[in-house]
Amino acid sequence: MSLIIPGDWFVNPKVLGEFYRKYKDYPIEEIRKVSFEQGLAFGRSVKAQLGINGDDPEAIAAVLKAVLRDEPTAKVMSVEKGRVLLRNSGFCPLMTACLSMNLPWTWLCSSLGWPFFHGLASAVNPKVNLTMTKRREKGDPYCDHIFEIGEGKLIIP
Amino acid sequence: MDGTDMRAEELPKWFPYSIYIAAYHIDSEKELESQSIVEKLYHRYGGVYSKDLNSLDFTSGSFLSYVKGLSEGDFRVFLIAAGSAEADKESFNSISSHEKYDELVEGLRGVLPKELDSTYILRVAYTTDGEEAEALLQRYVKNARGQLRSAGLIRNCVLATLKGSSTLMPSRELMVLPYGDWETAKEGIWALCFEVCSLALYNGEMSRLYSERKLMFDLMEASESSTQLRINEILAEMRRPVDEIQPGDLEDILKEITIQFSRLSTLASSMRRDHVKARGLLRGLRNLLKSWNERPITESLTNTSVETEDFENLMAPFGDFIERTEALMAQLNTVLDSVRTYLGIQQQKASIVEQTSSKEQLVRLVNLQEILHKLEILIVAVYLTEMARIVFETLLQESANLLTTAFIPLSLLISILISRILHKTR
Repeated sequence: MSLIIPGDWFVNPKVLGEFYRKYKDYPIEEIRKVSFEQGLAFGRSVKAQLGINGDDPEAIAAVLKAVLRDEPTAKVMSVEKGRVLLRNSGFCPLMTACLSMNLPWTWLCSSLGWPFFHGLASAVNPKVNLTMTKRREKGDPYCDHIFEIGEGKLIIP
Repeated sequence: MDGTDMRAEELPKWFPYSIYIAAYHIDSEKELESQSIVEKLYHRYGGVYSKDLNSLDFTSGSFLSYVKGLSEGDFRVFLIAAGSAEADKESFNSISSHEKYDELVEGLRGVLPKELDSTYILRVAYTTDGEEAEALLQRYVKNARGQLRSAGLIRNCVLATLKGSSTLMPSRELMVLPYGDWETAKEGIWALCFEVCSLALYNGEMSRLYSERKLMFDLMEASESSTQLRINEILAEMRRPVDEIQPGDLEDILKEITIQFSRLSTLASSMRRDHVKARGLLRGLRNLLKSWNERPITESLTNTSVETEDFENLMAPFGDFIERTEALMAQLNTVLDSVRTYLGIQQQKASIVEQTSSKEQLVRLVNLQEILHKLEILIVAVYLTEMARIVFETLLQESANLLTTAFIPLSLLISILISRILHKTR
């Protein structure tokens, strides 16, 4: 079974429900890989469209800001000391999908959400690490995504 | 609930001293069905197994045991009972009299799934009358160093709930003390067992619904604050002078409000769906407890009031969540109204500018028309003068110039007159 992630999963709870039912028993690493690739392709196209050059945190922040322009719950909070802090608060699309479709929040974020963001930033610099320092799916008041140049890993403490 | 119809089933004739009831949710694709659990026990212990009724009555050592699986949708309720055919002479003063039954039940519990949604442990003792039952209860509570949470009289039976550790999953320890006629007490205790099964099911379903939504309830405060903050930012933006707000800004705000509004609406309706489900469960619980017609004993609260209160406490966050999301939606509506008002004002301004410009155009047009009108009079007058000159030159050559000059004011008058007549007829 080849894995296909719908292109509008981050705005359409219905496709998330179908996706979960179809792939809930699929190896999570495989799903993460495909979601990462999707983010990477999206990030590259945004980078080319907006003419974003460079591979520094400022360029990563520019790509994230462009992608999340219409997302009221996600905001680039700071770009300093070589790292970008992206914060997600309020009622995000995955939170809404989890409640309305009765889906497992942790599964959705770890298999789709975080790898996708990691892919977006990796379009700017393949060595970027994404560390999830705060996660709402485990009870934190918001999700903090820290992007910094490292070994190109997704770190979920 | 399938299998609760006691008329369809021959219930054990012996007296249960230790009973364990558990309710749990099953994923129909993965979890072990209660049918196969009973079957598994039958293969291990033998006895009288009914596949249709999903029950097993068997002997283990000198004790009698009974297990039964009940199902309701995606939920299963499992009942395990151990007892004997005779009245146990030992009183509640000696808890050890129950330990032997508890041990057997404990062993059988191993076949159940690890994740349970509600559990009830019932310890039963037979007494001759109500007074003895109450005295036994007090002695047991004292000896067990426990605390009574609630107690009441249900038919010919004292039912008491002990205070337990407060966890998310309802886990109750009940003392059941039937009294009166031995045979009636036996029948009564089995009837109560099945009623507690229904109670376990309602509480289990509610507990599961609550635990699935608990994270949402916990995060409501933070999510509400950040949304509120953003609403305040938008409102502050809207307080800027009308001229400073560009249509593009309003468009962005509208898009953001639409996204937030649709999410809040989805969340509120999903939570409302759960709330309706919870209300249905509460109705079932109330009907069950009403049928108990429980009467208070001592100064304790009744089991009915405690069970209802616990259930309502689990239900309350659902209503709170809906109210809070609806309050945010009402605020977003206010923002939406402000955006609409701003758009209206801007449209009105544009229309006023347009009106002023068309008025100026009209004035220019009227002026132009007046000039044309005057020009028309002049042209006619010139033609008349010219025609008069031709006439004068023919008739009176010498004074033609003088007459022509004198005719000019007359030609102007005639021209004005003609013009007026023509305009009137138009």
